[in-house]
Amino acid sequence: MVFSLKDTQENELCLVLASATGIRNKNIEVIQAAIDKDYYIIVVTTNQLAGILKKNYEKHGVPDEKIYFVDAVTKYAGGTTILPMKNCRYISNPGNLTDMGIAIIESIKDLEGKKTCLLLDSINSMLIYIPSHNITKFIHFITNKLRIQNLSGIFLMVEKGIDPDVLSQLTTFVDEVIDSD
Amino acid sequence: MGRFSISFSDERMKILTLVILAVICISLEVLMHIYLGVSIGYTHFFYVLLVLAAIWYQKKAVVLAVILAITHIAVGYFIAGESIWAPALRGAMFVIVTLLVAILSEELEGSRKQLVREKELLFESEGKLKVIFDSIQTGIVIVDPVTHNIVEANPVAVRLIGLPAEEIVGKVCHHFICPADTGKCPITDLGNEVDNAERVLLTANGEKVPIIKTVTPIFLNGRKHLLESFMDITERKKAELLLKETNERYISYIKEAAMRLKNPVEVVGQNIALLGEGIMSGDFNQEEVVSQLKLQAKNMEQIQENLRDLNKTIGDGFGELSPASKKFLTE
Repeated sequence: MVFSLKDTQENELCLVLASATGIRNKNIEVIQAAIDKDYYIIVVTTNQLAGILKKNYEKHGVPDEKIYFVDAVTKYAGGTTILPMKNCRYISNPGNLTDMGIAIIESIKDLEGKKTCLLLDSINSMLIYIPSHNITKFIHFITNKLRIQNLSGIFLMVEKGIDPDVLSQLTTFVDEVIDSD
Repeated sequence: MGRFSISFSDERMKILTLVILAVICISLEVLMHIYLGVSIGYTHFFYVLLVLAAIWYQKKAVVLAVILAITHIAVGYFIAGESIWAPALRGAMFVIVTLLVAILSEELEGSRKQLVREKELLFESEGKLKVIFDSIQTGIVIVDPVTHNIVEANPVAVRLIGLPAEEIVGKVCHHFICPADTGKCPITDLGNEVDNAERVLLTANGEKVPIIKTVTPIFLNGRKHLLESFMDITERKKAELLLKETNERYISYIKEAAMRLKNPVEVVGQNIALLGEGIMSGDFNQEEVVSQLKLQAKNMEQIQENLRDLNKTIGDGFGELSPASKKFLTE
């Protein structure tokens, strides 16, 4: 199923549930759908290197001018030799939520006045570095920021990888839960 | 009356009284029968002696009655020269009346002794109950079902409530052992049974002590009362809470382990599979492959660290784990 934002309202926050095998493609579908609706996108990646993601978008014909990255894994993986990308903020450790929050806020500031959507890829990969209760708090913090600034937000996750109680908490922070499978 | 009873209960006084009466009787026999020739009337006085003797000495008094009867008959027949039948009839009456009074006295004495014995048994029984009431390791409170006032409280109840007994007795039970509203007593107003029910005891300093309580209607001093017995289950409650916390900790551990171990391993597996596909299709250059492999290696390290963290958390929460077991889990 191809993801579509057409049924969602502007400035809406969505939790998009995908299968473990389909989550990478879901990222591209969401980006494509957001670009189609003239969104600037901040991709917060804790799973794939931003460079790899960018390459993947290019491969699928997604224009990258409107895509900004908050990359939490490239530096962490020791990729110091990789040349810094344009429109990309690097965080040294994906477990450092303070740095991640600051990078997101700065990226939002960069896009002030523009129609912006934040894509978090993915909650499951964040669980490698952060306990579930801290992730819940962080998502709550980010959703509040997005709401205050009337921005859209999409949070990608593999449904089967999350405890139902945690999932239930996360659903209370968003406007809509989209089970894309 | 008291003084009379005391003087006549004295053995010597009794004998003296009987001796004086016997002397008077013999004197009357001599004076009236022998000298004045009167054979009737005065003999009624003999009954005073005989009745008293029968009351005090029961059937032994019959001997005295027989002696008096023989004396009266002998005087009448041999000295006064009367017919034998009239004095014999009077003598027979002496013996019969004495015997009847003696029998009644014995019956009364038997009943009195029985009453005394029962009273002693009752005292003994009450004493035993009092000892049990005071030494049992269960709080017991006796409540008037009409006023709901506490009539009595045993030492354990007093200790649990934390007030002197005199400050508990007379107070309404709602203040301490049953925080139900007035008019909503579960026993007397709502008709419920309280049997091994968990309730809360309110102590003098405002603490709430969990108790297990049983209420039984009893008859005491001819009136219905409520016997409320209760045990402090604070320690049991603590153990239950600890067990609940332990279970919750286990459940949290299992959930967090599933999210931070099983799921990330799948994520890493997926990433490596996709990397493999990318290499095969020539999508990635060498540097990108190395970076992605490094990331997945770091992820695996982090997953191992997560496992140690989780084991440490669970290990720290349980005192019964040996230091060696804790070391094994956390290193």
